[in-house]
Amino acid sequence: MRKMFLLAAKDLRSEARAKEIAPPMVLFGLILVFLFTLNFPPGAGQAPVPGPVVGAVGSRELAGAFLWVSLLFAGILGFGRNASTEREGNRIEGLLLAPVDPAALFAGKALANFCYLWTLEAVLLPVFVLFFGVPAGLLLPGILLVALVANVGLAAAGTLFGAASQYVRARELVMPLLLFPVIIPLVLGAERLTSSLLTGGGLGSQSRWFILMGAFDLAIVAIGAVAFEFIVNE
Amino acid sequence: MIEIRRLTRRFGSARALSGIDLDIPTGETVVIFGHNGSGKTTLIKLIAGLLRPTSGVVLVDGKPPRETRGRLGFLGHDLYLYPHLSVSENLVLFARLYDVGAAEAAEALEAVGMSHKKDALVHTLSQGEGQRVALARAVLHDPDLLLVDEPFSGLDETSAAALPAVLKREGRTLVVATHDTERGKAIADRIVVLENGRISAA
Amino acid sequence: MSPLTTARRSGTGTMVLIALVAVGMVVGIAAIFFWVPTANCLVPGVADGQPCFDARPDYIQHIFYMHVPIAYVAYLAFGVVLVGSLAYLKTGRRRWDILAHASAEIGVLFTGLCLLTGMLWGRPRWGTFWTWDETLTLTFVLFLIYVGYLLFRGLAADPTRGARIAAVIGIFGFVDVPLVHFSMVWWRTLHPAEVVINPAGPQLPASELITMLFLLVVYTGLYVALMLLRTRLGRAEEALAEAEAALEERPPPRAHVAATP
Repeated sequence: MRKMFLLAAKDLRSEARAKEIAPPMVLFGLILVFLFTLNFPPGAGQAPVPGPVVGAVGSRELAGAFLWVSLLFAGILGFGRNASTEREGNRIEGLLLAPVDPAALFAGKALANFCYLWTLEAVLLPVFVLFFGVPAGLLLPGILLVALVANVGLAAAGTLFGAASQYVRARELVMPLLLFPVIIPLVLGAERLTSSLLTGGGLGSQSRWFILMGAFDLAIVAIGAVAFEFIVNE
Repeated sequence: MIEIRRLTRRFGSARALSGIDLDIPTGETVVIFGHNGSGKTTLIKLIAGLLRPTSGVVLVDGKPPRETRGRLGFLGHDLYLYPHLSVSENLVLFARLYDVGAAEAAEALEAVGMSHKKDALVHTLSQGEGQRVALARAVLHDPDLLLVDEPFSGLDETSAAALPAVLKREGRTLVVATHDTERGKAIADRIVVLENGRISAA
Repeated sequence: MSPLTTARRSGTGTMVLIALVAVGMVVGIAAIFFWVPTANCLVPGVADGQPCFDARPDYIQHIFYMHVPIAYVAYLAFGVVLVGSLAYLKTGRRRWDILAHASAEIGVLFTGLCLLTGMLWGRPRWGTFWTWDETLTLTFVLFLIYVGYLLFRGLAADPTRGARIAAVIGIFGFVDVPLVHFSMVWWRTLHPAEVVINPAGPQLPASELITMLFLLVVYTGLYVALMLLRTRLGRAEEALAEAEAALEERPPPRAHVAATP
């Protein structure tokens, strides 16, 4: 699995120089969060402590959904770019020629996507906390845990379907069409858990969502590792 | 070393190769001549295991090519280099993927005469320089079987003249596809001519 | 035996099956309208022979005799996609891919019908065509996943690779179903509980049970018939591509001979 880290490091180092994935992702994410917050009545969600907000019922509920939809939309930009770096110049062939297990190729790409998601969240989460006036200390440990579980599945699914959509016409259209329906359990779980945190419900009462998300992570990582060679090999 | 039997490859309904039979013993240098569209590239990629046969078989040491890929070197039209990584970062990455060290990467770079550019980012290289780095990438693990597609194109006189020394090695099987008759003949032990996906002379 | 005779022979079997399905469908519809008692709804907790929620005769409930078998065929079809996809990746045999592809098309058709019949029931019963009930949403998500699968196949640049990647999508799509299911159940639910399959034994009266089971058989027959037709079409497409390739192979006709005076 040393090769997995080599491959991910290759992507991240390249991105550190080229800056063509993370900055657009983050900017797009910010724009989405901003667009969503425009729909809240002024002052909604600005209560000093987590809890249901009187007078703007559901805005805290919705906030979780908006956060994850923004992350997902921004994330998909990164997944697509990350996949196409191997497609351009047929670089995937160079990797396939080397004695590397296709599962390591998958894991390397997924690890890079995983890092891009954290970069995105590192910017979006603080902004989000700021917009909704929730004391960050109360929210942070819980939301990091939710993000960790969600990021594993998102990165793996993004890698699998990102690679798959390299081999069709209209690839940037096809990828979301394939990806969004299948990741519903993951996104719904992350969104429910986040909403529960925002409305003061905590994570304990919703812990079954973690099991579901964990099952999704397991399934997508296992299938991705086994099936990746069927996608990238001629 | 290489056995090819009744090898056919179609792309959609277009046939790139039709029923090729070819044996290449270990250590031989075979040069494949042919015009554009004669099926040279397809044949090379089939031997490398990058394409699957529509029918027929390719065996390298009695096994499917994908199983012996660690001992195979390949240089095609594409460089397989990452533009935002430096020359040595690219080569060290591939060296590690082939389970050899950074020393072998440096050696290969020396052999193609590109050591002075080792810290340059690949996207800043000229086409010929990129081609030479790609060649270093293809030989850094000292493969027993080396497949090269049009190695002379894009190289200046000096580099092209230095090429055979890098490609050839005692005991290495070398397959070169080219339309450069003169340079090809100079290195060949045997010549195969492809025409419309068939071997017309061998 | 020539391929043509094989095709013709399998064609006869298919025709017989189609005829049986047609007769079965007529019988089933007759049973729905004339045999099973009206105003006997499938919602548990309502006494036998009593109308569901009001005193009017409950004809609309009869759509369940169609809705349930359709839903079952949809799941069956997607299960076959899974099996075909796994077998195709394992063996690389084209016929498994043709099977999976055919079944996905039929599955999407039946999922669509399932949504439609459900909506026709939902409007008078729930007062709305659509609600974000868990089963509805699950079915809708399934529909989206497999429409994506078909779309992918249509847009694949290289059919062979497209088939292989589609198989991966078909497998993950099916594995995903229980996950989507649970996420929907925990999210919210309104759907009537399954009454036919119940650990305490069927609670439906005999006439309803027989009609339902009979229609399940008829619909399975319909699925098999459609599969036979669609896979035959798939094989024909395959054979056509082969023939075209073979034609390309042959030396060009000597047109210049005819042109010489």
